[in-house]
Amino acid sequence: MVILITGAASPLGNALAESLGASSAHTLRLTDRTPVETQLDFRQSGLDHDDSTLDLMKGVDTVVHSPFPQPFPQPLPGPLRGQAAGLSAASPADWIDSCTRCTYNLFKAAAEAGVRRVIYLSSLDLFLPYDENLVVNENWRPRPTTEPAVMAPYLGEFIAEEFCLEGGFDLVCLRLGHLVDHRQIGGQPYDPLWLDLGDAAGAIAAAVDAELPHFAVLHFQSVSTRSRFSTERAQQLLGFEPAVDFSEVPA
Amino acid sequence: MKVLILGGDGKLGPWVVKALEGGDYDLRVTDVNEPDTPHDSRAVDVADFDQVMSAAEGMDAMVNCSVLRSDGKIAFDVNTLGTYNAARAAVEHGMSRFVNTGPHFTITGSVYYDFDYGIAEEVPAHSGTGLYALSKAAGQEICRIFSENHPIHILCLLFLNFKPPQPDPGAEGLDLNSFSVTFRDAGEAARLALEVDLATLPSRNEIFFITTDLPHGKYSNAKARRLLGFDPQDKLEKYWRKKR
Repeated sequence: MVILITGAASPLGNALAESLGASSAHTLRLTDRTPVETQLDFRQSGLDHDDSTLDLMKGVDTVVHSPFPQPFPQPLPGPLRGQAAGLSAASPADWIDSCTRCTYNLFKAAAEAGVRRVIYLSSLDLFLPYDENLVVNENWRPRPTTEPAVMAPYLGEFIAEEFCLEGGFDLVCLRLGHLVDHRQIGGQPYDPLWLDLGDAAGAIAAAVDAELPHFAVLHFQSVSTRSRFSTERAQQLLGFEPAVDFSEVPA
Repeated sequence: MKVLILGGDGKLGPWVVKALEGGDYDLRVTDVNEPDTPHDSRAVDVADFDQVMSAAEGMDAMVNCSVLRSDGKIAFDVNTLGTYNAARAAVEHGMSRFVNTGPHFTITGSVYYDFDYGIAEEVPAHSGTGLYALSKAAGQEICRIFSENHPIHILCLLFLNFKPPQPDPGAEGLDLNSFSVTFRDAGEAARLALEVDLATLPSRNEIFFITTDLPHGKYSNAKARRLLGFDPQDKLEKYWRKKR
């Protein structure tokens, strides 16, 4: 299976390449706006409205698309609130352009090339406006704010859904909690949306190989009594059992 | 009321200006190239937030008629990012009303074309994947998100086919698209959206089908009639009645 990973320069892209590359059943192709030093097949691309985006798709079976506008800085933030705070260099226009236009170009090329499955990475921040005492899961309507780092990934979901409904490819929308590397938490206060980078990469890799319906939405974050959102569906469909629960981190 | 019009020099914009002239309005008419108009005017690229923000200074309301259909980059810059910039500027300037415009297939895309009748604004929105439709649909979704998060009413007027009131002789009796209106009635709809009592609307984000009264039974303008008082004057009868 040939897998295209966008946002490959990010720590998540790195971790995902490592996780998926461990299987001989996977052949990886990486892309990003910025160059990446790697022995793997890497192609620099801005996901523009031209043939270069279609060329990325040649022979690809599955796409894992991280729509965020720039590689995450260290220490690792996720595709979410923590990350948004770290991405001061990305303007609102960058966020919207990356998550809408570039995502549209990528999905159009994927549909034309006959890609079987697209995995779209989004954010659990879409549910933060709900009261903390509610059991929010995939059945609940996203409630994006107008913060570009929150709204733009949602708009990418909106675009992805239309391509899926037209039958172009199977779509798996994965909404991730706040990505951190549990080895680098330092003295940070506990965040009930934390998701360890390694657990995220493992879960995404599981979604690549799993039998899933034509359109699936799954929520990923760490699992403990302090977790903010339910991951029960991911546990049922993917056997999602994150290794890191951050239980050693005080509230 | 001081009204900023974005895309004021396109196909629809001048008819919105015309509908507002003579009323109690001070207009600032903008487009990517400065419009030739007796009103306050300036060049504004809606993809540039600073330009939109500056143009919105001192305005009470905004009408966004900007649109770009074909170019892959500019379509998203105008239809999606441009709508974000307009909504954000409206909020940051404390406007209570923003009128956005777009094509009807931001909601009723190709999945609705061959099936279903009596289609109204409340159907689940599915634009399909066409560049124009989906980039405008994303803009409309941005309007919904802004109105849900900020104290602003965003009224979205949806059109499709603009027709002259009377057909060319060769076009009589040949029928027409079942979502059609004249520019004159379209401009009037924008005026009504600027004047409707916001307290009478069910939510801060309402979408209206702006089509004249057509016998096809495909699309309904009942909501625009009921909530805006839209009463299209041009029935386009010579298009859809057999020529005798």
